[in-house]
Amino acid sequence: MRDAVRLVGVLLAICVVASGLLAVVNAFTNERIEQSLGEEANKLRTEALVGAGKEVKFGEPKKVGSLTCYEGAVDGKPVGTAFTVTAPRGYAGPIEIVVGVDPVGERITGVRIINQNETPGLGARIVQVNPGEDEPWFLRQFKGLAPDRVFIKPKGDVDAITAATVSSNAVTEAVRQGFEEFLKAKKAQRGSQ
Amino acid sequence: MGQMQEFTKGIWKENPIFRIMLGMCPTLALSTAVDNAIGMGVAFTVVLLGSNVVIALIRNIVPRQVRIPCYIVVIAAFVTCVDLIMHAYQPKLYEALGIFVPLIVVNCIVLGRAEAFASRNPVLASALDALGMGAGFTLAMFVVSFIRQFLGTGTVVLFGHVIVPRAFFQPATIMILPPGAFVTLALLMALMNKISER
Repeated sequence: MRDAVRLVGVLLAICVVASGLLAVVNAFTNERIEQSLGEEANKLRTEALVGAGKEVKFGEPKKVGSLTCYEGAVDGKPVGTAFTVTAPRGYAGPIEIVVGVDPVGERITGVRIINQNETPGLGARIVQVNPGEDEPWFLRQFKGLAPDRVFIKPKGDVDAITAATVSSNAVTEAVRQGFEEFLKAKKAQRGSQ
Repeated sequence: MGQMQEFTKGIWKENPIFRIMLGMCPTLALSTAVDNAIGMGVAFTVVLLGSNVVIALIRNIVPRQVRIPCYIVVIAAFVTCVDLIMHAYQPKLYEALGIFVPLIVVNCIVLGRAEAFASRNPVLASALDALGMGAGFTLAMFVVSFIRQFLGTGTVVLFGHVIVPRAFFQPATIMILPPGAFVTLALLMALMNKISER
């Protein structure tokens, strides 16, 4: 009996000390983590709307259909809306994508990848940046497209990546479907007002 | 036997990857880029150092019957600390290492050192053992990832600095895919056996 008490006591003491330590570390890092997550998301939204290196102010997230939309503005002037879509079938799991749409809602201002696990050297080239350039060449193709042009060539204007058809298709499909859903939901919202 | 030997043994004679052959999973998965290898090596060393020291400190008060749960709690606490701190201050690296940081908890080397060394040796020796094992792990990761990144992408980039310029040959993508990890690891191990034989 005394043995059992000792076993439980020691283990309990270690657990208590460990959780105490974790509580302290968590309290220290929590804010920083939240902040860096927010910054990263904002950076991608900014790049999707106006490109890198500019300050964009984002409003509170708004629901448009099933999409969570962030309206961005530079110096008080609206520059468009950014929202996140997920391509459910990448080659190796879902791909998370940020799509930027101009204020009129006609054309794509830019596309960025938040998360992907595609094959290095093949599918992962969806985020490959050529030397001397500042954005991935595959994603740049989406800039300025209307939804009916967001297809792989020859149906649309997007060049697929050689040997990475699945990844190219997944991104292209997700961007178009997201864009179409955004337009439909916007229209419905306007209709109801 | 000098204390220094506790440190140096981890680098060659008892190298955790090439000699003890533990911790293969993160080695194979994360040696695609030199950055990741070093990041993982450092995270691993910090956890191992922390857990080895604490376990050496409590080795006489922990009853034998519950030693494994006790060690796991200590290791898990350190891993979670490293995980949180890395997430806060090195978000890029954190993302690249992904699931493998939390998985240090079940890394065989860490528990193996706790059970085989720290639970039987004083604090200083355990700390040196951890540092040696960490250095050996990091070094092995570095060598494997260096070879893979060089052959697989044609260049080696360390924290944004190109340390080996783009080579003239066509990079072999397979080297940064899983098969390349096995091939590199096996060849290095064979080389090490050859050298040790003499």
